[in-house]
Amino acid sequence: MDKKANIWQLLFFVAIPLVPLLVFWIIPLFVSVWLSFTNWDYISPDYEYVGLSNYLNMLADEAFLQALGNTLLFAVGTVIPTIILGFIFAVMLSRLRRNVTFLQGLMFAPWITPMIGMSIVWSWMFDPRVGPVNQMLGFFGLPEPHWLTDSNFAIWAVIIVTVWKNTGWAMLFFSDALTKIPQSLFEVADIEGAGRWAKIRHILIPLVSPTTLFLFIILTLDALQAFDQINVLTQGGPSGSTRTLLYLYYELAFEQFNMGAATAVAVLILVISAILSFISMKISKKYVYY
Amino acid sequence: MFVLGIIELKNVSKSFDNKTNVIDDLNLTIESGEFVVLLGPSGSGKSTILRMIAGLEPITKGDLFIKGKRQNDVPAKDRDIAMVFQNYALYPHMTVFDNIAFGLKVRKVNKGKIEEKVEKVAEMLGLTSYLKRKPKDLSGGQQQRVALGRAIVRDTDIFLMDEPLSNLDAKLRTTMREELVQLHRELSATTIFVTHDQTEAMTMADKIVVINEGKVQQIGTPAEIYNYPANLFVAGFIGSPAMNLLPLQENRSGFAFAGQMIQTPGFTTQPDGLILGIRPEDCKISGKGYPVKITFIEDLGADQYIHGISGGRKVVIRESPDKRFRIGQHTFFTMNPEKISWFDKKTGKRLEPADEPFTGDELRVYHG
Ligand SMILES: Nc1ncnc2c1ncn2[C@@H]1O[C@H](COP(=O)(O)OP(=O)(O)O)[C@@H](O)[C@H]1O
Ligand SMILES: [Mg+2]
Repeated sequence: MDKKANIWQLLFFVAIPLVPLLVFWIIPLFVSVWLSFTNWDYISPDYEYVGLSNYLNMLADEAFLQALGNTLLFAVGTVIPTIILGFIFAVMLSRLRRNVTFLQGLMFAPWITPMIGMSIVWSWMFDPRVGPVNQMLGFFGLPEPHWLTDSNFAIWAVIIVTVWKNTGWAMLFFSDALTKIPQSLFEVADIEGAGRWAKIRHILIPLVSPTTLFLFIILTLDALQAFDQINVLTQGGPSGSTRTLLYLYYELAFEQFNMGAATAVAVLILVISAILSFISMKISKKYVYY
Repeated sequence: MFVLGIIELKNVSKSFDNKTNVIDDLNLTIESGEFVVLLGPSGSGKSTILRMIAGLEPITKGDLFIKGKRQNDVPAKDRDIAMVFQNYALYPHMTVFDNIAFGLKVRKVNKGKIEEKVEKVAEMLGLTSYLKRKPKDLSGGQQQRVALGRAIVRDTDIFLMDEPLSNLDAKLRTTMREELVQLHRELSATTIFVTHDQTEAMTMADKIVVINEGKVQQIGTPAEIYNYPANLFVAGFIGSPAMNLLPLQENRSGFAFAGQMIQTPGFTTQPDGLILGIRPEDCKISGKGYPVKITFIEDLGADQYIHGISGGRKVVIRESPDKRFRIGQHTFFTMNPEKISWFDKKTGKRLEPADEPFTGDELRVYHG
């Protein structure tokens, strides 16, 4: 019997896994790109090719520029604290002997709770009068902002909820990375005379850098796609202060039925994601140790 | 307190579970500039002793003194000791230079000085052309040198080494042994070297401390340990092949082995049963003596080891390579009576002949 699979058998086995990829990803991608050059209104059967005008309009649109700025603030404001807090909690937990799994589970719980349900709880937490957040701030004599209705604070409320949700998840990855560092590396550091901070700076941080990079990319992509918490907490308001690019896409597509403009935003989100991932990978060559 | 050595362990015990002592009432004095080898089988507690001296493991009971100061509560980073780990424990993300420089860097030595020192050490260890590499791009022997370099560069006067050669191949191990001894002479630092390999111990040590089950079995020079093992454990552990340990039958007129009467000296203490110890090189195949049946011949080129059964016991005899023997042959062997060690069967301790007064002090044999 012929041991080698023939070319048709090979194609067959490669093609089957490719089908879902094709149906759910590649085809929609091309359709989206195509739609961004049209003026389709999401309902009518016919539409026209409009060239680059969706993109040109977008770049001139105040709302778009505001959304771009919001997205940037939201991404930076969630990704960096999530990584820093996740790392700190992981290091703190690694010092404990007992209850580690319990505490990890506790911190991980927000991640597995649906964002919608959590956001509803948080909108109560942020209530200016009865919400626990302001009650606590008031207790310490601090200012009590109208979190969700003040355009200076709304984005921070959304950021806080997102960081709160993601930190436990990031922590779990850091915990795992920490357990993989051989104990003897810290013992050498002790003997060589390194203090706590030197150990963190010269050993811990460099040795978890692959995890940091991974989290950075995933969390950034996650930030670009944040929707549920914005939808429940602020619906992009007040006065567009929490409208991110994805939320803008949602409004354009499903509130204004301007599918062409919406897909133009979507394509842009995709391009930004790709560029960011690419840059992180490039930078990582220098700073990430494998 | 009157303190002699640079490192003193006084009645030190260590327990990990608060029930059993992994190290039990250890007393050890290490003098300045000595190359001391802790030798014992795996699991005997050698690493634990070293780690207590380094400050990586708290001391459960007893006192540790370094240069006359009690160290029990001094953290590792303030003890100013250098240590080389078995797996080298190099920082994978740092270059060779940074690995060696690490201790100086965290101690805030200035940059120029660091460079000067690292380069000098690299030169000494033949690492100059590898300074920019990462550990994963080095051979095992080179990694081991980097670990050594990291220890040397700090100019401390105490080195601890935990089986630093055991990950090297046999040939490199022999070379590194010589180099380490050489290095020890140049640096004239006190070195405590842990190994389970008796050849390493015999060839490198000024002083060997034989450890078993967390207890010191004997302390002495390689020659003392080899020629005058303090108990049955040391006798069986040192030497390859090991010393023949032959229990004697006691009858009305004295002691016998394989049906032959054995001339025994008088002992300082009355033995409770007797075990005769004789090394393979102190036995000879002969036309008379104790009957032996040859079961196996180990030809090493320079020597041959004749394995046989005598008096129901396995014996090993070293013979010159030119003589011919065959398996299954019935013959006889003799022992050099001057080289016989005597052990008490009950306590396992070495027995000293009464008529041949040699003082324990002279040989510093430990009767622990
Ligand atoms: N961290 C630890 N926790 C519990 N038991 C340990 C620990 N380290 C060593 N031991 C036990 O102590 C004994 C001596 O170990 P060790 O000092 O590593 O021996 P050696 O270095 O001579 O091989 C062993 O029985 C080992 O199981
Ligand atoms: Mg060990």
